[in-house]
Order: sequence, then structure tokens, then C-alpha cells
Amino acid sequence: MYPTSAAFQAAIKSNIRVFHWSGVINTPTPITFGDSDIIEGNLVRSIAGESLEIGSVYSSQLSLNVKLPVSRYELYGCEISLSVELDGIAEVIPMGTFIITEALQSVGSIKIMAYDSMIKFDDVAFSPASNTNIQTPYAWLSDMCLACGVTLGSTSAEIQGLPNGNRKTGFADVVSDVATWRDVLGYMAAFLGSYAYIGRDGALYMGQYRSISADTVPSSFRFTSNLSDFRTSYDGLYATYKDGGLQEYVSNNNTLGIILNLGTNPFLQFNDQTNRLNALQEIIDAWNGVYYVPYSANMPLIPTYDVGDVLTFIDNQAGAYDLGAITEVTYYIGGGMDVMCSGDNPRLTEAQDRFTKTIAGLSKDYNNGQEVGGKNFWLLHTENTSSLTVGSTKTQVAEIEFKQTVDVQRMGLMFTCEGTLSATATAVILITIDDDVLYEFETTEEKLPNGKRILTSTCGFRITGKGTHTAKVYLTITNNALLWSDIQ
Amino acid sequence: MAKLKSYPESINNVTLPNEPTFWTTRRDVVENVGTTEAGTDVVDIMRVGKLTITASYNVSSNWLVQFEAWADETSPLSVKLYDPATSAYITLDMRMRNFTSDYVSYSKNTSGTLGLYVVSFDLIEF
Repeated sequence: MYPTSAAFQAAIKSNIRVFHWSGVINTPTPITFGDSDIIEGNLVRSIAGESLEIGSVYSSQLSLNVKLPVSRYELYGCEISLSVELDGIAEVIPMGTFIITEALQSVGSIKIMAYDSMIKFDDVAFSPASNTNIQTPYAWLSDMCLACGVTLGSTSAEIQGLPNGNRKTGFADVVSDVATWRDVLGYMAAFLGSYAYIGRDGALYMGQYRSISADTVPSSFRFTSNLSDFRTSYDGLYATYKDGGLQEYVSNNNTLGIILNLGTNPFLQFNDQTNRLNALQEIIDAWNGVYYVPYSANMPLIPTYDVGDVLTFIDNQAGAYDLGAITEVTYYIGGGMDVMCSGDNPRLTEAQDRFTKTIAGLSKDYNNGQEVGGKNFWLLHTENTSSLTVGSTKTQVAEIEFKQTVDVQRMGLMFTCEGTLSATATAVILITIDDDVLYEFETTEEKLPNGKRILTSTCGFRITGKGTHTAKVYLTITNNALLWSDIQ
Repeated sequence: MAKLKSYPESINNVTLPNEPTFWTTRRDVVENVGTTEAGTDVVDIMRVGKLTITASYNVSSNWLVQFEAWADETSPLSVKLYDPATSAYITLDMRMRNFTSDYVSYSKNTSGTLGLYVVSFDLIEF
């Protein structure tokens, strides 16, 4: 929330307000405009789409219909700064600085479309080969701001206060969707468990979802409101470690949440497992105790509200815990504002993908709050570069070695593979922990139209003892007229 | 103390004939009113004191032509009015709308003019 005086905060909540909008466009001869020149306009700020997102790099959008004494051809690429004042209060509230990308000329006015400096990160290509440093997130952010001509607004101390803010990292070239610094910024923001946004001063900031309420919205200060019937949060996270062919899962103390999928993040590809898991754990632990009730509301304009501000709704249909962070806000010039908190419904987990559902199931079975110790889930695939031949003699098909830092750990494993079998064949998946007893768990089969089958076995263990442990997966196939020669 | 007669109204620096048949000034507030969920109103005022003047004059044919020209004007009219609040003239950009003219019966034989007319119009501030 933009800081203002007590007088402003009191005046903004009164039943009669008079706003004065003004702006400057930095054409070769700067143009100033005011209320009498503005026909209509709105400003949209966003940090998430339909789900609560980390790693978002949304740009704010300004749409302004204004009478200007210049030709539309002179406006492209110019910066437009917008501000608003409240009558009787000597404080100017900056609404931001934007880069004009389009100007539509009508008979009496020009409709301007402009975006904030986030678009500058799209203008500069990123080369992994030229950025091989292992450095702090603050250094990474400084580098990308320097490369793209944007000021870094978050201080070093503020970055260090974020998850993984003190963890040095490098960019592992394991993804194919990084073309510009904006893509890198998105991954770095996810590494920091945050969202990136451009502030009112045009500088880059990293924001974090919090549970501390910034303002209360009573029924006397909202026109319409819609409050969801569920709370949303994240209680687990999984990410892909590309080199190891692993999807690794960590969880926090929240309950009835949703699992966050970070995918393959180039900044989270630490070879050291402990370091990697600790990094994931920091991200998900930041969500401890953070629960939001998604909402949408139309209310009188409060130009000092920012994305990420947590609003608490009271009165009428609002209950004891109706709060959520603003994930999207639309300020209407000459009108009110729309605020929204997005979030997925945990009850709709059946819409998740196979791995997310499996982890959710494992989490439900093994996430017993009464037990102590760590919780981890591993999804193993066979990613053999050459085919294996498996018959009635048990054959090792996968192995994972992990370091356990707690005395007790509840470990879930899911192994999945695909191969061609005859109709009478029987496949059995066996798993050992530390070369101990062979555990046989239920194996499910999915038959594909091309004759192949997908085998999946999901199991849980209670592993005791700190140190290194090894899980090995064996496969036996009986009554197979064909050998499992193309196991994948 | 000066008399109001000392402050004749003018449009585009042309002084209007004295004594309108009627002259009504309306002051509007341009505002955005929303009703909250508590049933109260929150009002965002964009502008106060927007003037709309409704006036009527008895005029000759020459003045009829002048008023018709102002009614057809596509540029803002510069209207000078006496403002009681400041005891001085104010100049406003206005437009003339809803212009009507009524022929006064039996004025065809009036010398020095081609008839008498009653003109009515609204002056609306931009």
C-alpha cells in the first residue's frame, strides 16, 4: 500500500471525495494534461491469473482516452506518468510511469495504450552461455536490471528476507523456453517464492504473499462483493530435477491446501540434494499460515492500494476469516475500482494431473500431523538411454540415493514405466530400501491402444536413521511370450 | 453601489439586449454516485458549479439573425456573465442549444424591423 498521511487515509474513506488526475508525457516538448483533458481511462495491475502464482512477471496496463495537442505519430515509445490527488489534501499519489505502445486517434481525442517497464525485460535476449555466474539472487536481479535499463527497487536486505534470498545459485541451461531476461526474471521470482512487479516509481520489486492485513473493507465501503466458499493455500510443492530425472516433493504445515508445481526451474537444479531440497522447503515454508479466501469486489477508488495488499472483508456476508491478497486491481479514472483475489479450489483436485493427484493421495495417506519427522515423496521414472530386457528373474530398473537429515522420514515412492507385454504376462514391481526386504506393492496397469502397457506402483515407507539411504526398484515379468525389451 | 445594469451579458463580445424575458441559471455537480452494500452512498465529484442558463429575449429581426448564428456556431461561445460571488465578470466557454424563436403576432407593420420575435435558448457550459 502506498504510504500516505493520516489525513489522506481519513479523507479517502469519506462519503464525498474529489479526485484530480494529471499526467505528463515526455514528448520532445513535455505535455501535461489534467482532469479537463481526460475523457476516460483505467489502469490494471496484476500479479496472478486464475491461480495464486509465484514467478509471475505481469506488466501493468494503462488505457487512457485524452485530448492532446499532438499528433498520434509522436507518442510511440514516450513515457507517460500518471498521478492523482485528493481535493484538500496536499499529497500527490503517483500511479506509475508507462511506455506508450499504441495511440488511436479519434476526432477529438487520442486513446493511449501503455505498459510499465516490465516490457523492457522482453527487449533484451538472454544467453545462458554468457551468464554462468553462481551468485546471490540480488546479484542476479541487479544484472538483469542493468541489462534491461530498469532500476532495481528492492534492496539487498529485502531480497535476503525472501525465501532463498541468501542462497547462491546459477542458471542451469535445462529449459528451452528462456529467450529474454523476462523469462529469467520469472524463474528467479519463483526461486524466491515471490512475484515480480514494477512499482509506482518504475523500479522492479519482488513481492511476497503474506497474511498480514493491510486494510479492512466494510460493507459501507464496497459496492459489490463476491466471497468464495473455500480457503486456498499451498501445502506442498514439487519441482523437477532434470539431471536426476526426479520430481521432488516437499510440504509445509498447512492443511487442505493445493500442491504447487514449479516444474523445471533453472535456478533450482542444485546437484547437491540437501541444498536442493532445502531450497524447495524454503519456498513452501513461506506459505505456512497463509490462507486466502478468493474474492472479487467493486468499491470506491482507493488509489493507494497495490497488488499484494491483503484486504479483510467484514460485515454482511463476510465471516471471521475473509481475507486475501489483491492479485488484480483495476483503477477507473473518474470511477471506482475492481479488486480481485484469485485462487484454486482445493476441492477440485481431481482436475489435477496424474503426478499431482498421486502426490495429493500420498500426502493424504502419510501426512499424519501426529507423527514427527520429515515428509518427502519421490516420483521415479525409468529414463534409460538403452532398452532393458526383463524376464522372470528380477531385474533392477531404477535406483535413487538420498540423504536423510531427520531421524524419521515418511517416504512415498511412485515408479512408472511403459513397455510391450503379451496378454498373459504378469509384471511385479519390487522395491528395497537399503537392500533390505523386498517390498511388493500393488501394481496398476494402463493398457494403451498400441499394445503397450504403463505400469505404476505407489508405496510408502517409514525410513529411520539419518544419513544416506538407497531405494532400488526391481521388475519381474512372468508368462510373457515376449521379453520386456523396450522398457522405457 | 453599482447596479446590475452595469454588467450586461455578452456573447463573443457582443452585448446582449437588456432585460431578458426570463433568465434561469442552474448549477450542476458532475459526480459518480455508488450505493454501497450498507445502503450508503459514496460520491466521487468530478466537477462542481457547471452552469446551464435558460434565457428568453424579445428581439427584432436583426437580433433574431444574430441569435440564430450563435445557435449554429460550431466553436465554443465566449459568454461573459456577472458572478455575484466575486462581484465581477466571469467568462465561460458555452454552447447554445434548444434555440426557438416565436413570431410576435401583428408585428409585421412595426417600423424599423422585419417583425418582432421571442427567442429562447439554453447556454450550456462545456
